[in-house]
Amino acid sequence: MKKKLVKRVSSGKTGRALNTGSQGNGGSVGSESRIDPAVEKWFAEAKTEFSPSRSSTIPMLQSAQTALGYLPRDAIRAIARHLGSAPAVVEGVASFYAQFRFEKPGRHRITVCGGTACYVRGGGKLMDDLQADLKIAPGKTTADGAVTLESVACFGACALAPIVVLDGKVNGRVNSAALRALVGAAGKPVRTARRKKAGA
Amino acid sequence: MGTADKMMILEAATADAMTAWKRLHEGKRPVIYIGSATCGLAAGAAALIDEIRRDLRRLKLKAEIIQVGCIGMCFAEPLVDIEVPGSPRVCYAGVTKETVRTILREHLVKGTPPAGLALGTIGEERIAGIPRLFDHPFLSQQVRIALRNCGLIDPARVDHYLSRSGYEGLRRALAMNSDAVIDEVMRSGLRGRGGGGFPTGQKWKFCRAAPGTDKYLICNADEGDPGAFMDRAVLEGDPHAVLEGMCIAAYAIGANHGYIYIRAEYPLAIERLRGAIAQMRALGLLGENILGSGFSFDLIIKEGAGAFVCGEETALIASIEGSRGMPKARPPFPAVRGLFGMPTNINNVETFANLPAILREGADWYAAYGTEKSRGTKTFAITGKVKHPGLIEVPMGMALRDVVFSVGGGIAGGRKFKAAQTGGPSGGCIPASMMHLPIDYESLANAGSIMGSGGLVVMDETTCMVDLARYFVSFTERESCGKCAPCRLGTRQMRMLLEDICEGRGTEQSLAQLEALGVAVGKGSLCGLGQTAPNPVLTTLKYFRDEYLVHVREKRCPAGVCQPLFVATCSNGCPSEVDIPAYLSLVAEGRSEEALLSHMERNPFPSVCARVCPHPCESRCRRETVDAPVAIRAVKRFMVDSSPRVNVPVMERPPEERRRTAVVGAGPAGLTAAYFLRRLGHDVTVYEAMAEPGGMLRYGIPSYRLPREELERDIKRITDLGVKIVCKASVGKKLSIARLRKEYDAVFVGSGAWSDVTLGVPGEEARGVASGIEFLKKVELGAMPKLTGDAVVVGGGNTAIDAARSALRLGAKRVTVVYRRTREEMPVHPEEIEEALEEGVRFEFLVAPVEVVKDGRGGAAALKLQRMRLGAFDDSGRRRPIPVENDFIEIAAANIIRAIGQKPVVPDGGPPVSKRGTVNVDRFSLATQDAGVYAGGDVVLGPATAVEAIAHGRRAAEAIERYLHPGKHVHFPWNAPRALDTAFDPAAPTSALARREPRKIIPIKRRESFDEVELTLSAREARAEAGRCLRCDFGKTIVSREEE
Repeated sequence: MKKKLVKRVSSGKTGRALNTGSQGNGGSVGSESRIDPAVEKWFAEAKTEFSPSRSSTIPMLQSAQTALGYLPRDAIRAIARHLGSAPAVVEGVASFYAQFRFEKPGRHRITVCGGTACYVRGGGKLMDDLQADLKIAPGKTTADGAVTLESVACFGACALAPIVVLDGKVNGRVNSAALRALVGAAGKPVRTARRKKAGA
Repeated sequence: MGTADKMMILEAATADAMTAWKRLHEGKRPVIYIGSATCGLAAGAAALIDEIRRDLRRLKLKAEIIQVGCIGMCFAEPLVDIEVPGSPRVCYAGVTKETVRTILREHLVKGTPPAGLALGTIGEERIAGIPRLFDHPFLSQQVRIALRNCGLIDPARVDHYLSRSGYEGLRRALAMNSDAVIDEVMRSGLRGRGGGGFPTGQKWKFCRAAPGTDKYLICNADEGDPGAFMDRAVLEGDPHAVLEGMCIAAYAIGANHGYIYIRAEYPLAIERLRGAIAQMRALGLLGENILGSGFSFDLIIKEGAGAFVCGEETALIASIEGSRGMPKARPPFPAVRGLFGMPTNINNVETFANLPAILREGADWYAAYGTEKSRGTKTFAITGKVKHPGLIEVPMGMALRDVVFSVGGGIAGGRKFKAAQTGGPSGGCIPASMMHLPIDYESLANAGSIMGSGGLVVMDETTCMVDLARYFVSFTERESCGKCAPCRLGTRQMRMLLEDICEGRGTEQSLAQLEALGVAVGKGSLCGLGQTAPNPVLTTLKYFRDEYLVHVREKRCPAGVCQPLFVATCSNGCPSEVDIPAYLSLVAEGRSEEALLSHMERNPFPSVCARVCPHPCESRCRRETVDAPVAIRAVKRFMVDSSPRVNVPVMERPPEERRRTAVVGAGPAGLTAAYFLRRLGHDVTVYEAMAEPGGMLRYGIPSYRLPREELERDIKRITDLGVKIVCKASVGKKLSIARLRKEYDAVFVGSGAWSDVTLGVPGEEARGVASGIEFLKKVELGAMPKLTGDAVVVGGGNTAIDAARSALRLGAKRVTVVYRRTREEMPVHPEEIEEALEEGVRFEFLVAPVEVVKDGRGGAAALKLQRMRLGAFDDSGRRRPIPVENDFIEIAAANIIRAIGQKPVVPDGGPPVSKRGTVNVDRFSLATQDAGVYAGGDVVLGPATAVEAIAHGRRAAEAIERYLHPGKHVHFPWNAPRALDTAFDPAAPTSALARREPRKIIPIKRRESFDEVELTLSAREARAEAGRCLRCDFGKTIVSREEE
């Protein structure tokens, strides 16, 4: 009975599984015959690398995200199949941790450190400016797919606060002028002032 | 392989390492060390290495380049050390691509290390002109045990580690039996450095005693505390220390399986660990039968996936097992049933990093550091608003103020220290008044905080404590695993309450709710995350309650952080809350009269403030992040000088609403109160003891800083509204407060701080010794004759400098200001010290008067002073002066002016006063203990600035209106929503102009007269300067200050 249920879930007929994973995922609805080829390529190696035990869940998710940039539905399904558990269980673990993304990231990634030292030295204001200008919330990608905005709990480079990471490059002591230059480099100019006319 | 063989591999490797290390330092090639931990790389170390390689090729030089970890001086990154054979290693700070060329040329080619770029030398030998690095206050008080190798060795090389006694601790441990190792650690007094502080040896004992053959050892490297990076620095800078510690612990416990649970955000640390583990295997330090001891142990690295709750032991175990990181109820404790159901011991990175040294040097050696209950040292990531952010390791028991002010270098940018936060989201905020606390587990817990893993975030007056509490609670809300309701729902409710307060919707009820919720969440939560989540809220409520009250009662955020509560940081930093962006933008458009009117809405002393205000607005100006703050005071000066007339409206009120009010003292506080009461339509009479109105503005500030006609312009605007001023009317015996209270509906007391503080030294009664304030008063009255001979002024405040500069103008030949601390500690504005120096005033610092030497005819001949030195820090971060035994100087002077303080003058029969002599008032309404009597300005604050007195005047006027018409007072027109129609295009490029300072008369001319020193900006200059404003106010709506 239990086995049957698992099988049904993994063949994608139940509705729940992944409501977050619909965007940017090459159209795969997830039946095994139409699996995303990128996922397939990753999985071919991963299934030999990771033992099929529950403690492989997080390392496999990390490996998939490293290879694919995010966790498409198919990857979650493949991991579940490998571990002999339900995709909902795997997704439940994945969605618990801040590291995992379920949407395809943009061409550029801007990560603002949300650590205390950064916050005290103006990191919060930088995040506000970025959100206002890119018109997206943290964790989201601009409509044109250019920029993903993220926040991280702490980079551990607190002495250089506030920290903004652009495409993996750590920038320290960022102020609004430096932020403008940084984001300009990613193709999205940021204005720190608000854009309405007339003084309030 | 036999036991002997296994040991031989390590011994041979160690011997080789020692030789190689020796060769490296004594060889022919220079060695270049570059700090390449994450922080160094963020500061540009990688590009610097490339540049060094290129430049070495250009110079045709060969050198060893070694990438080292972090020495902790993050404020000085990137750091480059150069060691030339036969000469000590020199550390260079803040090295850029440009300066590195100079360094290489001077140090390597010419053989003369450039002292100007060097931070210090490392080692015993010295180089003339360069201090020793470990004498730097950042390092001199540190004791580095966990960090002993960080920044000094290449963490990727095991031979570097071996050459510095690496794995000696493990070898000693393996030669003992397990119980003896546990005993050694127990005796060392080591407690869990992850923050909990549980005795490490005790913890091991439990796990060792637990039945079972398969036991696990876990290193918690999931450094989740935002604002802390101790573990990262250790793992990046000295991974073998942690791994050696793990082996020792595993041996003691009898664990054969080890896990390192490390944050995925620390890729460099993971890389270092992987490399180090491979090296250990090659040396027989991991795997089967380690060093032939019969003990086997192996290690697996698990990358955490970003969940703060995984710092909790049971959640961490769940995460390794492949589940959501949710904690479990204890017991059973992990020591009994942990990872995969087996006995498990978890320690933090720093705990492990201490173990090699404890085993190598012995428990007694380690226990000699620290306090009775908290032994050894603790690392801290000191960050936030300090001058020297970085990674430090200090002995337990060191006072917090020494850590913050001495090691951390105090607050950057001349701002005021406010609080230190330890323990991150689980910790609390420790206010300035408790900075004497020693760093140990118990003291911090008693203060409502925790030791935590070592995050130490320093905050100044621009950090809002309510916002900070909100920040931490939203963090714990996000990170709450959701398993138990108190934590999941409680943190959310607390966050929403705090948001209300930050956005101007909070009430005093919100504070009570927060407190009740905080206690409930702490008591009711399952794990440490929830139990400690209320700490940031409860400690800020306890120590910074006034700041919360200002938020809920007045809808203000004094720190200038809660955006809906202020127009712009400049006006928020102004005690009288003048709408600075409004008048700047009006001046920029050439509309000075409207600008002046806008100023008059909040502050009726524009001429005075344009000249004597210490302009706190400018130190809050955001333009500073671009180049330099807008010269706000200089623009104001132009504004007021160029607009002679202004029409301030007075409220028309029906006669039954008009009241009679009296003001005591025509200083800035009294006249401002009078001005605003009059604007509300009341009748106001001001009683002034002196012959002319103005108070300290007239009798305490010399006219070269504030010309009298300018003061009179401001006063005339007030009297033009119908305020009556009665001069030479001293309130006290004849005209008593009681009588005023009878004749008037309300009374405001602004009688100032005119009373002199004496030096209390022998000979003070001598002729020629005067009080600063008396001296300035006489100068104003024209009663001061020309001075002959020299003058000495004692003190470091405004009065001292004003007296000194006036003495020069009166003909004193040599004027010396003596002060018991140093120039940095002087309360007077630095600009005034500068001007005094330009005019020829001399300064003698670190001296305190002990005697006035008389000339035999009863006149002063000289002042005898004792030399002082700066001692320990006080809680506010200033160093106390301490007398130097038997070290005296004498300064000959016939005129000695004391200006070491002023005390309030409260009229006879006036309201009750504090021990300090200041009138007791409610700090929000300024109401005294006598109904209908209000007080403000210096009589409440002690000697303060004009702008603070002005702020009090308006506050009192509003409170008096509320008192006169309880429940139905008028809306205050100056608090109405602003109507500003100046143009601003946020898309336009920012003005590129540099800050324009007003010109001054040349110093030599200044000494000849009391003419105003500073000149006005031209119209063009002023408009351009005003145009530099970034308009932080633009498009902003703020919460109304008017209660319903």
